[in-house]
Amino acid sequence: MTASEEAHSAGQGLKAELVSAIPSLRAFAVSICGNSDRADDLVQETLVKAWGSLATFSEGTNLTAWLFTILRNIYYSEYRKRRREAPDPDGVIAAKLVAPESQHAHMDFLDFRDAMQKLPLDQREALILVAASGMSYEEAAEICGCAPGTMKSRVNRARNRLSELMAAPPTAERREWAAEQLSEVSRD
Amino acid sequence: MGNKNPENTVARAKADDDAFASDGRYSPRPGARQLETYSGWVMTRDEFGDRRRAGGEARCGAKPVQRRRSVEFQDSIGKELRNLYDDVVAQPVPDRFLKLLNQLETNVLSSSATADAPRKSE
Repeated sequence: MTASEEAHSAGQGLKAELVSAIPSLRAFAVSICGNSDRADDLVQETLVKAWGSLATFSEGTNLTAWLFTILRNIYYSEYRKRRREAPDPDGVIAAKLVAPESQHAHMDFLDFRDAMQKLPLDQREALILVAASGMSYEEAAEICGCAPGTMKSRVNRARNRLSELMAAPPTAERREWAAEQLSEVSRD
Repeated sequence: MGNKNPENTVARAKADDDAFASDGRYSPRPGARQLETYSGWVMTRDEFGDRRRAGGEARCGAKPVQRRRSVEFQDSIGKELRNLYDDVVAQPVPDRFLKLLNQLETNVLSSSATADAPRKSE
C-alpha cells in the first residue's frame, strides 16, 4: 500500500465511525446550547477539529466520548469569549436570569429548554451527560475533567435548580400562557 | 397499585427518585406514572411532554399538592431530558456533515499524496 492508499483506507473506517457518532454529538450539542442551528455549527467545528487531530485519538477507545470532549472544549472557549465580549458589570443580564417573585408566573411554565439554559454550564452538561445520554458518572466525569463525585453533586444541584426554576402551581392565567407556548411548539 | 392513599404515593415516588440518583440513570418503575391520576400539576406538566409531541391540547390537572411536587418534578425532568436528547439522536444525519467529511477526506488525500508524505513515514 502506498501512503495515500493507507490514508484512504484508514480514513474510510474512521469516517464511518464519525458518521455514526454524529446523531449523539448533535443531541449533546442541542441539549447544551439550546439552539439547533448553533448546535449544528458546533458539531461542524467539532468534526473539523477531530479530523485534524485524529492522530491523537487512540483507536479502540470511545470515539463518541472523545468527540464530546472536543465539542465541549469548543463550546466552553466560545462561552468564555462571549462573556469577555459582553461584560455585565452592573449585573443587568444576570438580574434577568434570576426571576423576581413578580415574574414567577412565567417561570413555572418556562419551556424546559429555556430553564435548562438558565442552569450554570457545569451543571447543565452534567445533567445532559448523565440523565439524558445515559453515561455513567465516571464516563461523564472523564469528559468534563472532574471527579465522579463532583459529577454526581453537579447532577443533583442541576436537578434541584431546575425544580426551582420551573416549580410553581398554575393559575388560570398561567395555563393560558402555557397553552400558547405549547401551540407554538407544536407548530414547529 | 390501585391504592389511592396519598401517603403511600409519596413514599413510592421518593423511592423512584432515589433510584434515579443512585446509578445516574433514570429508570422508571411501575407505579410512578400512576401518580397522575390523583396528584397535582407536576404530572400535568409531564403530560405536556407527551401531548406536545402529539400536537394535542394541554390539559391541566387537579389542585397542586406541594409535598409531591419536587419528587414528581424530578421524574419529569428526567423524562424531558431524554425526550429532547432522543428526538435528536433519532434524526437522520444532515447532508452538510456527510459533505463536510467527504471534503475533509479529499483534502487529506490530496495533501498526503503531495506535501505531507515525509510526516507519514516517521
